[in-house]
Amino acid sequence: MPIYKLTHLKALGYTPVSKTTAPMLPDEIAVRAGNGAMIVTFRPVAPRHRPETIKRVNASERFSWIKGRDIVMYGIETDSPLAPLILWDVAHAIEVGATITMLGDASASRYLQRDYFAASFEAVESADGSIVFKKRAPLLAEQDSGLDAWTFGIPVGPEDATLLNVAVERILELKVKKKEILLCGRPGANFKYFDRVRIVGEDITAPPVKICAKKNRLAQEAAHPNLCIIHDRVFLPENFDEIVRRFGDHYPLTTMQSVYFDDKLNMVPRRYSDIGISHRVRGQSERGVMRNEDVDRISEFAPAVLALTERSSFFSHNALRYDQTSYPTGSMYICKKSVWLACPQNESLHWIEFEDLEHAYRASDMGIPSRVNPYGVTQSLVSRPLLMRVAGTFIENAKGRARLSRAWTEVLPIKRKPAIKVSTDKALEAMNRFTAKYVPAEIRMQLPAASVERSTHRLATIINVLSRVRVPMQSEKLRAFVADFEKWIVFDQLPFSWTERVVHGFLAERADPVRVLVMENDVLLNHIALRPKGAVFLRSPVDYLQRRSISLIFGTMCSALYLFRRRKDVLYLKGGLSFYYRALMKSTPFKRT
Amino acid sequence: MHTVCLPASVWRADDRAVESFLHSVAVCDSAQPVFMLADTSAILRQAQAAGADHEVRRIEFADWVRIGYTAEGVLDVERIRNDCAMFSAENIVMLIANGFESDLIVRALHQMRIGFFSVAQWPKVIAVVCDDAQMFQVAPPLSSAFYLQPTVLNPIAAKRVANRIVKDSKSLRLFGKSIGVLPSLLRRWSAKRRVAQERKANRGLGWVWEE
Repeated sequence: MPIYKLTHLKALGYTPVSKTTAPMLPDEIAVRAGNGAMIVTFRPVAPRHRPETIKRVNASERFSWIKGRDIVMYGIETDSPLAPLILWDVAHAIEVGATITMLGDASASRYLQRDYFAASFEAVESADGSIVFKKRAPLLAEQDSGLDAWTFGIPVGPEDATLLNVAVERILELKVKKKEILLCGRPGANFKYFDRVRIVGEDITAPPVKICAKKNRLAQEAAHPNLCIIHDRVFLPENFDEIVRRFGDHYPLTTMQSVYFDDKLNMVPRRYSDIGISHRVRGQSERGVMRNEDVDRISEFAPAVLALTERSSFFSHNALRYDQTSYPTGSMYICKKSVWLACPQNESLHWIEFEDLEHAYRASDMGIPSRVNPYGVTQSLVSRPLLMRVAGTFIENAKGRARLSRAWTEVLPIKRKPAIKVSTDKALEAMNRFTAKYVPAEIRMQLPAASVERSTHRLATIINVLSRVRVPMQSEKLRAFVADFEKWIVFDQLPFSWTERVVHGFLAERADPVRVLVMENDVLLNHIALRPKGAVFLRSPVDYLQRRSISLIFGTMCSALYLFRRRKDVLYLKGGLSFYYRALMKSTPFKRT
Repeated sequence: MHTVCLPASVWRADDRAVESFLHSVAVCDSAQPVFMLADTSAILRQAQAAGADHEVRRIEFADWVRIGYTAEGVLDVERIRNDCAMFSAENIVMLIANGFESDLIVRALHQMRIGFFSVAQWPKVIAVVCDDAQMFQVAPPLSSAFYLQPTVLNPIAAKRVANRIVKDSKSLRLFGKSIGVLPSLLRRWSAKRRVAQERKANRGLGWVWEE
């Protein structure tokens, strides 16, 4: 059997493994290749052993081609951050009875000793830093083998179902041999496909939005082994079947990269909420007690410390890299049913409480890595301005450096989609509700209709309203005031830490509401920057769909060119320029006649 | 919770009338909190009008101040906050603060504000008795001590603020974060310069004595 010498993609900037920086593969190991063992290593190998070099290894690759009865992994965990991905693929690819020998690693605990592998792999020999693992039984993901049958699960709420119709229609169009669509919760009355879907989890109440309970219920109710859990804003690519087949079976917690086009011509692409990374969260010292656990198990994701957890930096992750602190952001999970059920989401957490990070980190600790399928993209039908900054998005490049990235087309005066998924009527009504609640009757004023049409008027109205509010300096009431401001005036999520700063400003610094809530509010500034003139609120949900036109094709080409040129920095797909173009076109939500 | 600023002269002359006045304030709608600066005639007019449904709790401001450390005394912050947490919801709290410096009273109000922050049920009325000469210094901070109060802007001022933010956002959109924030930084810097220049001029004129 050959000796495979792996080499990282240089652009990743991982610590080099060369003759000058690492010891050679020992001869006594190399000779085992002659006895039928397959040796896999990043270490330099003497040329006389005729190693087969696999270059440009990165996190978008699968390693299922490493198969055999006797596999020797030399220094894999020491030399490569990609070790979890390699070991996951190899562990699933080998047959029952085969062995994996882990050699040359300094750490005492090996990846294959983690919970996920415990039932299937047994350490049969252990001596001098070498451990031999024998595969006794198929792993959980292998029990759900095959890519023919899929369950698509969508957690939904009772609001307008126009965009849900679009997402479900696309799933119905997919060329998947067997599929079922599960909705967790009852959709709005205008949902068109009640006869084509199964509705589960109607007993799960809201608010708060128990998104984890919903996703777990979808997994429990799924009839097929492959799960694709998406939010109702995720528009799947037309060639979903081809994408998942190219990626291969026995995948771990997987997602696809996502794009949101801010304009009507597919000209202004933004990477939008797909996979993220935070280096600091896991090491943070502030911890609290989770809602469902005892004081001996403290977590950085406990509700009490969310405002502090939020201060850790979060970036979009690069698909070429792997890190144990990367996580799918929750809007799309592609996962085997049995794998999900072995590591379900924590139901004590609710929506926007870092439930996605908690889940991915717990999975990673168990031995289930999070990764990206690089053969396609999804598009987001709508966007939350909080996640879509006009100044750019922090995205890690291939080297792992987070940089603010934005397309040059951002500045072009092209017709845009609505910035906030709230209709103008509802927005005005909500602003009036806020005024009625917080402005004393004697100075209450009627809000002009222009305050939801033009950004300058909107801002002037908000300033006017805030200069008239009266709120008691009581913790509960002040927080309710900020929450109502978020829900009825800004229509966007405000960070937990920002809320805490505002409350502290009011209390300790006697801050003026206009200054704190408007002039020092980046989220509101971003709204105005996104739409300096107007079109903040939507007139119809159909505004989010694209029309087929020559200019759209041109716009998509421009975006494909931009994304292809910056493939190592913004969005990585395994293909050339035309692949990018096709991926964007196949995932564009068009208006139907 | 209603807040009342009372002159010490009336308090000294007829404390029963003052209490009676506070009882009549306590029956006002608590959903529409009021702040009032009570003058002598108003107190005397209301003297017989109301019953005594609410207990009046008197706090001597002197109990909140430790004398001896500095000339004007030092606030006992812990005691102020504890007392605030102990006030009963239906009470009328009367703070007898005459004879103390306005600054000290205002600082005590700030501590009371923090003390009341996590209290779910506030007393009906907080009344502060201060020297007649201090009324106009104590009244404004007292009116906004426990509430975010309206400070209505005229429409032009609101538009001016809005336009400035729109300009900032436009430069952010056009030039991105690194260059886009320059205009707002420049404006802040020039505003600071202007303020510093004015202070310098005022110092020359003798309006500012510090430094």
